[in-house]
Amino acid sequence: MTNLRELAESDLLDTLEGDWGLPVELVSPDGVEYKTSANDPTKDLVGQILYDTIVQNPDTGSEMVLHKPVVTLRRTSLARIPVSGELWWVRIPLTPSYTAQKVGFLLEQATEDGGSIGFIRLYLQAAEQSVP
Amino acid sequence: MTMNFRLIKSALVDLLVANEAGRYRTIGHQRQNAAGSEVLNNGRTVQVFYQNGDIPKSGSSTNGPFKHDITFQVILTVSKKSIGDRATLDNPASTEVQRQAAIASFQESEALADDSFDELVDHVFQVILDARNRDLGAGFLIGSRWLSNIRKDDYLYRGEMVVLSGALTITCSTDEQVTGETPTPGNIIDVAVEVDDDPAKAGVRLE
Repeated sequence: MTNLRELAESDLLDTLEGDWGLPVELVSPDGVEYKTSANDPTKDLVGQILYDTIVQNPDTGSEMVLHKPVVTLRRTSLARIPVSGELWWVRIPLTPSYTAQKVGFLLEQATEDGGSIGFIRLYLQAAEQSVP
Repeated sequence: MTMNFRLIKSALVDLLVANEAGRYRTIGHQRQNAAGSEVLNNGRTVQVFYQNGDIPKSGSSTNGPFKHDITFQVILTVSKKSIGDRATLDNPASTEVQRQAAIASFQESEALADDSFDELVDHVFQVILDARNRDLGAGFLIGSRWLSNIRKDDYLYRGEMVVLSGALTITCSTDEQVTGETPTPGNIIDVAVEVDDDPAKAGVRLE
């Protein structure tokens, strides 16, 4: 008998890494780059990227759309899983296209774990170049 | 005749504008929303608005002048992105050690916003409590000018940036006069509503 949690996790291959998937590159705090899937190193590391988020405006209570990229990845595709409090560099396509130029964001805000359902959600923040 | 509290508010805005020196932007009213990018770095905003007025009976006489204890809120808003060596992180030729150093170099946006807010409090405090500005620039005597409270709110994650706001509470008192105003009529708009299917063109009848 198939375990439903295992089935849900394997579904992520389609829902997160299927046709909707976009390539993601991670740089860990110790400088190691992760560009390929740990499940299949011949394939790019891909996940679902939402570029805008609908939130409630704390001032007025109305809904507003914010440019705030959120990346959802399959945990088994990661060779190392970001932990809340770590600074990671995350490169995602500038526009929702597989071949678009990638732009880097800082993973600064706490990650949303989702360990029991097989995915991890990363909230990204913009970063400026420091003046040398 | 304009009430004194309005003159004082206008003078306070002018005073803050005159002392901006590129360090912040002054807005003379309370805005509901400001985008994170709008207040980024030196686009920090200072908003002034009249929050509260007490008119104690004991300090006034029936026909005036009326003592007016005024409370202004000066809202400070700053926004920051993280700052670090992103060029190294985006350089395909960079080594693991260089990337590690680049990530470690990042100053987090929360810390930068906190520092920026404190600096803005410093600027505005120095302007408002400068002895030369005892009248808040109004040009007439203002009583009991005081900065009674400084408040810092929680971080707001507005999109990909961090926004931090807070407020300075400024109190003062003045005398208000009632001058016996003669009302000036506004524009009267004569609206005739014609209904297409009404042959008499009698307009709309309300029953």
